[in-house]
Amino acid sequence: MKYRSVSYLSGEVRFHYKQGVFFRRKTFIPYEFIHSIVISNNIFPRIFGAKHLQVNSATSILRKSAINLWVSQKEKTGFSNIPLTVIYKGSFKRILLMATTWSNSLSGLIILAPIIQKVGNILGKKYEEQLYHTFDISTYIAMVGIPPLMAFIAGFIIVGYAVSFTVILFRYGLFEAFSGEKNENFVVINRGILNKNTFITKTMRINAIEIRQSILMRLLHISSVYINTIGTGIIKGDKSLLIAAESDTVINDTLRKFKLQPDYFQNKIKLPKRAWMSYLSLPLYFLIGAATLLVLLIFFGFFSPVVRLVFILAFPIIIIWVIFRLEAAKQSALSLSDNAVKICYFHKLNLTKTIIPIQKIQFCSVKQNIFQKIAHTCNVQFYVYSAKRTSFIIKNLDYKKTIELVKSVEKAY
Amino acid sequence: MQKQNISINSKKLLRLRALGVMSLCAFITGGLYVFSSIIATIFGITSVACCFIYILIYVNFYFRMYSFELSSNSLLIKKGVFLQNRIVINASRIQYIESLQSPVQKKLGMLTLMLHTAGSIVLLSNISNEQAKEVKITLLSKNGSGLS
Repeated sequence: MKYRSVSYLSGEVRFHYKQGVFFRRKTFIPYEFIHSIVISNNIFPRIFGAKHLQVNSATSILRKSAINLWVSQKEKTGFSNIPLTVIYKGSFKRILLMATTWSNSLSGLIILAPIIQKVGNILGKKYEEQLYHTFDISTYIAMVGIPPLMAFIAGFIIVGYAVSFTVILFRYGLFEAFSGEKNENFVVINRGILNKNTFITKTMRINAIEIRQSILMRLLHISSVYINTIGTGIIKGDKSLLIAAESDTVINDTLRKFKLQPDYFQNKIKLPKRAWMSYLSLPLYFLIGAATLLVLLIFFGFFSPVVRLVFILAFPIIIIWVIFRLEAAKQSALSLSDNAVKICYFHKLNLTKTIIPIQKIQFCSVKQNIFQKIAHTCNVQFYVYSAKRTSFIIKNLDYKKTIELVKSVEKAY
Repeated sequence: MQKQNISINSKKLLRLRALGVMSLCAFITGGLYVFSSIIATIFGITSVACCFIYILIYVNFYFRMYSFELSSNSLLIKKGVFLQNRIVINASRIQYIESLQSPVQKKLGMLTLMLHTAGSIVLLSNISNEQAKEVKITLLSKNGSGLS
């Protein structure tokens, strides 16, 4: 009954969709209001000859699309008739590099743990333990001469990293980004080895472009590019990637081919020297705290091998954090071109440059706390067109210069 | 573009809320007294002191620092005591305007406007009915949406 209740029609002006057994629901979305389409061609539905279609509009709330539809594998989704040009193809080497820099043990363990648990629920405790022992490599590490506790921790870290690496590789393998040959407004992104995903949107629907660099990518002088539009991030694990780990030259060239890169940014406001301390304060407090704790532990005689190991691991991490914050302070800036704003800031452990078309900015918020008032600095937050209150913030810029630039942006609306 | 403050009755509303919180703190203090008189005394004195500071000092600053300027096609809002916030919202970005009014606000002749943009909401709290009408007419007519 459920199967028979679902029907859809791709009309001339709008997309029609009907579903519901007892409560009938009819949805009509004009094509001009569709922001993006996601086609998921995963391994299990493919066995049954099906693929998943999600249509996103400005009314899509949080992680829910306006239309969710299972269609046949043979169903043409309309884009097979449009000639497409490959603008960017992520080479295997680049995807490998990206997977190396993105992977971390914690996310790998978060992926692995529920799988082991679900196997145990389905097949029984015996198989769960067997699977657990398969992934437990601490005995092999201990054979090299490493103490058992450290071997156990190292085993977890290595297995977690390996799982995360494999998942990212399969998720972003065979990465390609296309533009419509005749209609150059289309952006089509294909990715995935076993679970294939296609993301389709238009250039004018892109609300922001983010160019991100982790610490390791900064050393290798490569960055990744992401797009922000309604529908990105809806699929679990989707990072809305447009360009994998590439150099600045390739990125600028690719963005120009997509007509996404404005030519020249002027009115650059950099972080004033007096605000650098605000970037460095948190890691420095941690460093001072850790050093103080170390001294106290030595003084009271609690400096056991485990504590020594913790400090050996903690100090380099804190120093890398300080160096990262220094780089972020050097890079932080706000600049303006004729039709876009560029924000250079940091988010978590990524140095990010975000380009926002002025037409996509909903409003700007300039905030000043008491200390910033004394130091004549402020935070600026740009809210973009989105379904879920997306904003980009840069902190501790000079107040006067920022207000002037924000007024220029507001005049250009 | 003339700078306007929010309704003077907003002070009354904030002070009423503070008194409500103080009553709640009195109940909690009474409950704590059963377990420890010292902790109850400290909590009671602290909450009364904070409420008085809020009522006598903070509310006045809040009123003075919350202002808005309505131009032909935009609204500039400045608010905040410890964290000053400056927002300019253009009429073309407003999807629709919603107004909220609690029973106390109705009695005091005030309401809160929620300006909905694509994905975000800007609040203009505790303005008088006349001010709200002026804002809605100015912004929505520029928007082409007509009166709401």
